[in-house]
Amino acid sequence: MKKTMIPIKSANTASRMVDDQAVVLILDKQESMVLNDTGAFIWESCDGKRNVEEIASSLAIIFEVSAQVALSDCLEFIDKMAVKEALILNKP
Amino acid sequence: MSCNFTVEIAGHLIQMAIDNGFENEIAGVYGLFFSKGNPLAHLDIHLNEQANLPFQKVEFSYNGNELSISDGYSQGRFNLIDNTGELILSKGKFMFSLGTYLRNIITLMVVRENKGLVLHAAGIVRDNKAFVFIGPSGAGKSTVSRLSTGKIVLSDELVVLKKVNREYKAFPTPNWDDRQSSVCQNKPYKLAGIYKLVKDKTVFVDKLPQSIALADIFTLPYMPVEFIPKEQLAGTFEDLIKNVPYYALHFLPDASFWSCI
Repeated sequence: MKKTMIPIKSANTASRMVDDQAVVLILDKQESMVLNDTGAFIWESCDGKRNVEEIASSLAIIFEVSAQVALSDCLEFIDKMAVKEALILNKP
Repeated sequence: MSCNFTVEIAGHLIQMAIDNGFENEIAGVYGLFFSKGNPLAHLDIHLNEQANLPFQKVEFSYNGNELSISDGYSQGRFNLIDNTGELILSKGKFMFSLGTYLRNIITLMVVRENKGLVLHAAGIVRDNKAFVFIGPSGAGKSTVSRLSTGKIVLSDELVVLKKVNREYKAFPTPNWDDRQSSVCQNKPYKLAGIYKLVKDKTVFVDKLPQSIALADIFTLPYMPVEFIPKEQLAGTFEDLIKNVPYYALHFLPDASFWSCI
């Protein structure tokens, strides 16, 4: 996956913050998952306006981690969610 | 010639006109739900003399205002605007197909009403309070129902939950598919808790966080995805888990679990 790709939440998902945790529901697959803090931040950032690299930059600042770690976390999470079809990746 | 009757299921009044000849079977499954109330939905149900058609997976299609359901034995439709429907049933599987059709119409009505959910769960009443048990096939829903002697089994398969006067209640459903049920009154019961079934070698209850509750109990009604108001449904599930406690129930294949609840 290229870091210039722009992720956006699939129309087949719904998410809720419960007990300070993000729960993502993938409707057509009847799957659900509870995200950790990093995952929740990345998920909420996938608004179709920012690319992977931009999300990673914000992640690095907010969570005080290196740019490399942030980018790695972003790529892994977004790739996993794209495989589940919870995220759609658009070209720039 | 047809017979007419009205049933009330989870607060929804449905009038049905059915070809004569099945009054006894109808009364056997739906008798407890007969009502003299004013129906909002009207269904015409006809018999197709062709029997022994091969079963097919239940399929839905949604065409704007009309929902269509078929399972090989039957074909039905339901108009979402005027709440009328028609069902043509194969003689050989009359009750089976009628149950499928009504189950899905009720689910549709509950979801559209935006006050409740239909869960694949067992519902059991003790001391006038309802306890709902969830889990995948094989988790033990039928087992806990069978082990609940002296209590009211609303259903061991399908439970309707609706918010009534700010509290969630569990409604009984007809004994579709000859499942376990010991309902003797068509009335709802206050929902006291939802329990995720975990087969174990010991018996205990573990309260689970709301995030796990939402992730675990989220299920979709079986109908076209494009019809489902996803944000509404997610909101209803969220409201449910914020108002009703959720537990993991570790249990043995005996009635000892009731001492933990």
